[in-house]
Amino acid sequence: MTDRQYLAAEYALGILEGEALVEARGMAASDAGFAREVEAWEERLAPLFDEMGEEAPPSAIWERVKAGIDGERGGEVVELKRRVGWWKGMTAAASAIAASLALVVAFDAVRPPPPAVEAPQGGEMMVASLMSEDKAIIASAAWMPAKKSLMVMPGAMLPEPGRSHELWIIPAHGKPHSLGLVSGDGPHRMPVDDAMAPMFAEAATLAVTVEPEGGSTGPEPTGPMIASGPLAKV
Amino acid sequence: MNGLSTPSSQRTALNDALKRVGAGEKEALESIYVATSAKLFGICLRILRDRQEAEDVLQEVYVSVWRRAGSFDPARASPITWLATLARNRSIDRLRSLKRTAPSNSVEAAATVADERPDALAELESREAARRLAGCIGELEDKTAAAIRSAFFGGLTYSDLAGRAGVPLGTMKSWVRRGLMKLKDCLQR
Repeated sequence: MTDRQYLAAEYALGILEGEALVEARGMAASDAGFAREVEAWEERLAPLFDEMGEEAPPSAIWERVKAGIDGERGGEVVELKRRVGWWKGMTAAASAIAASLALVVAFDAVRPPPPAVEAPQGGEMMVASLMSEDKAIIASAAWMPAKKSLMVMPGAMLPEPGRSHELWIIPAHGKPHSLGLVSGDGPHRMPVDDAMAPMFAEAATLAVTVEPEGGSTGPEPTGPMIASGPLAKV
Repeated sequence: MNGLSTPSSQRTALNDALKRVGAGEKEALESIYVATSAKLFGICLRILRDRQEAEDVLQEVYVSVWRRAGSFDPARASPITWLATLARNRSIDRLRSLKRTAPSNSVEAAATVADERPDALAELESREAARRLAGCIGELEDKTAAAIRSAFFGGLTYSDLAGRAGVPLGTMKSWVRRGLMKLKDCLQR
């Protein structure tokens, strides 16, 4: 077996953590051949489920499921606004992304800090891992309050020709605000203007949508959301 | 119903129901729930070992089925494996987030996994796929088989397993990788 085949097997088994898990999630989301390998291992291991036994859940669970999907249509296409609340509730796969975020922070730390001409702005460093609905990590982001900038480390995200990926911040009870376009070309720093800096607080959400080339033509997203994640203190 | 060895009629019914869920039919989700919730609840309970957590995760799993059914492809995966894998992955995610907040508790709980119940063994014997897999796992060295089973049933990672076995991470990794390769060869025979 090749390293790549081992990685697919390990990912299906659920034994990975740290950077290897981030890598496997990214590949499963972006590489169809790898995703097939993972599925083949899921089928190989599946007979083990027969050992797990069965138990009827309390009837209240079905009522809770019904309440959870109330007013939503099934399938894949769900509009951004409706999904925000759900995404906010998702906890980040923090141990998995810790490694990648450490990289982001290290990348930033090698540069000398700017001279402190004024007292540091309020706010704390925050991180988010942006995941697709099937929990593949699409990008990681770290908010640097002192520099009023967001470090973005994209994973598997290549827009189709004629499309762009746009990053948004959605405050707890607010509308999405554009942070600009993100590309798949490795870590980059996005400056954030003073007016938007206070939005980087807990309970805010970062989200990526697919937009026409160059970004949404209006103040709000127009295309489907492909990844999102809540901001959390480091 | 019994998971993976479901008769083909049941598999066809689940495929059909998932397709209808993908088209937005709530009744189809209810029929999937009726057919599979005991199986999936068993998986959540086994991994999480906590009834409240298992109930919360089970609810999330069916809400995910509602949202993700459109991405299920019957040509590529069997419906019950897809559902069971979703339940297992969500349970492991929850287990790991619990471990981060309360390390002592759930590491202990996870360390006690991989006990076999006699009825599960009997069930195993009666099913061809399960029998073959059990046979192939049985051909592995005990330590390797135990690691693979603990990862599957307990959501343990390489570093958890290395810590428990008192061996370096690289050693555990080579045991498991060798085991996975042997398993693949054995299942192909």
